[in-house]
Amino acid sequence: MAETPPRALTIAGSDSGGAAGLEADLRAMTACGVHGCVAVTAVTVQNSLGVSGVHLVPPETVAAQVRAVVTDIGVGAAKTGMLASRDIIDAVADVVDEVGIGRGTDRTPFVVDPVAASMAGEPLLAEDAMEAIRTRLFPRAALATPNLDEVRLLVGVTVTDAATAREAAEALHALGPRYVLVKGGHLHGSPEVVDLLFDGERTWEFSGPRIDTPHVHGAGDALASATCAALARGATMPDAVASAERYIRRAVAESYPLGAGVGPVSPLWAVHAHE
Amino acid sequence: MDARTPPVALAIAGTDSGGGAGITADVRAFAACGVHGAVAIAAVTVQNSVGVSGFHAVPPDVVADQIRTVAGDMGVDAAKTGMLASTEIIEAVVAAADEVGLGTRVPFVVDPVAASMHGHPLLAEDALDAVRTELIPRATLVTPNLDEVRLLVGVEVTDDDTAREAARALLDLGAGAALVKGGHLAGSADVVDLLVTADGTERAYSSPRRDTPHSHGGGDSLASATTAGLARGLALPDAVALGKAYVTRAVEHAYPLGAGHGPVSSLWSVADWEHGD
Repeated sequence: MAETPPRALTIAGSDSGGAAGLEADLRAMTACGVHGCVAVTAVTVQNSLGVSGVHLVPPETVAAQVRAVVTDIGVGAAKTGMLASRDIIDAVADVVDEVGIGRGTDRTPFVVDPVAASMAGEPLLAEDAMEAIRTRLFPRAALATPNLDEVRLLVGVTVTDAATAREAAEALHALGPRYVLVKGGHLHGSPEVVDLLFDGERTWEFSGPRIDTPHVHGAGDALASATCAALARGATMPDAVASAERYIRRAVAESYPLGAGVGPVSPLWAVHAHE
Repeated sequence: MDARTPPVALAIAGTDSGGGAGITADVRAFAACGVHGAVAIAAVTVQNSVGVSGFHAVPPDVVADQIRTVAGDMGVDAAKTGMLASTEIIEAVVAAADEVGLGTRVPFVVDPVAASMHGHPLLAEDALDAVRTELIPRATLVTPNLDEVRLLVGVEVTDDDTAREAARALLDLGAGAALVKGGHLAGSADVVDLLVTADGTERAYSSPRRDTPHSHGGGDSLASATTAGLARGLALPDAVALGKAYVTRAVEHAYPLGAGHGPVSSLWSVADWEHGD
């Protein structure tokens, strides 16, 4: 028998193609040595070419999953992915308050990955749900992790360089998260990917060479999940993000083609193929 | 096909919010066995180590659409079923399975999940008939535990002879092969799983019984790892051997979680990538 590992919870949608969403979350959490729990918010019909259908889970079932996990199993950190609707966001905001997940140092760390845009940059959420992310989730977030499309949708800043990244970080931080990570991966054309972490005063930069691959499906989910896993293991926020950045760089480097469209980042290098 | 692309396995099953069984166990077993895992979610359960306190069934057409959209784009090298919840979902799965060749061109493992390890029903009573008449006839391999054997074919397995009798009864329902899992036969020193195929091949897989209450997700993991082996092109007896080796290791590394039954573990398969490689 083994010792009970740290636990982390993802509150997210499923991707039938297995590249992103809670499937990417579970694999990243496993690869980071953490037991992953799930509260499913939506079931997407999806492959490498895109999303062709979405079935929403009732908000009370989403909340019941969070409650069942936290009250019995206990978690060291939680994250959100696709929350799909205003009603689901409201249910999540209420239940995290109830079970002690949130922003403050006295709460279980809450990572909000504000999944709001498709890989093509198209909005995935109605405006009332975007508003709920700003007003109900961000004030509860220990960390918010938008990509540049989500930054634009959330605070109206178009990031093109270090100065606009800093401007975006300040606008996002003003919405309430304790830390903000502005992810530069969608800034095409730059030879480096720079992610900027900001706590309202200090900044940390995580940079590395841009890896030339179209197969980056699930990268954002995996980064947020690996951060969440490191928080569950007790890391400080800057250390947790640094650990997740190491994980995601390797996962992008080892990504693979799948189907006719965009393939996934890979967790497979982190497990021994079992023989 | 690009050399970097791994084989693809598909799990058609329910989620377990506690992360021990169902789709969560499937996704981890697929990754640990080196295949890309795709999913068709049939149900969302509200569950922890103590039991199942609620579930939401996904509409049957959404279950079928997930199967079609995965198979039509990325292709599926092997598929498995877990919790399918209702007759309507089973019928939708069977229709989509026939369309995309599960059970004919593509190996199809049917794990006839009927109840949680705590005894909570995960399948409507009238759905057992659909498992017998619709699902099992399409199965390359059916993998019931002893409780499911009793429900499906009415055989009480107590030894090798009754295990063989149960396997033959499952083959009579139309399965290509049956793996009768002895894990629920408390009291025996070893866990013996018996594989019998329609062409008469027999093979027993034995592992020492572990004295642990933490075996949540063991059945799912065995079926998923076997499915991963089939997706990688292994012959059925070898795929089952891979599944058995994986679950034996996963049970050895099982851990306590919550107030009830903890899960079998896939964490032993993870490299220590943060320190070193």
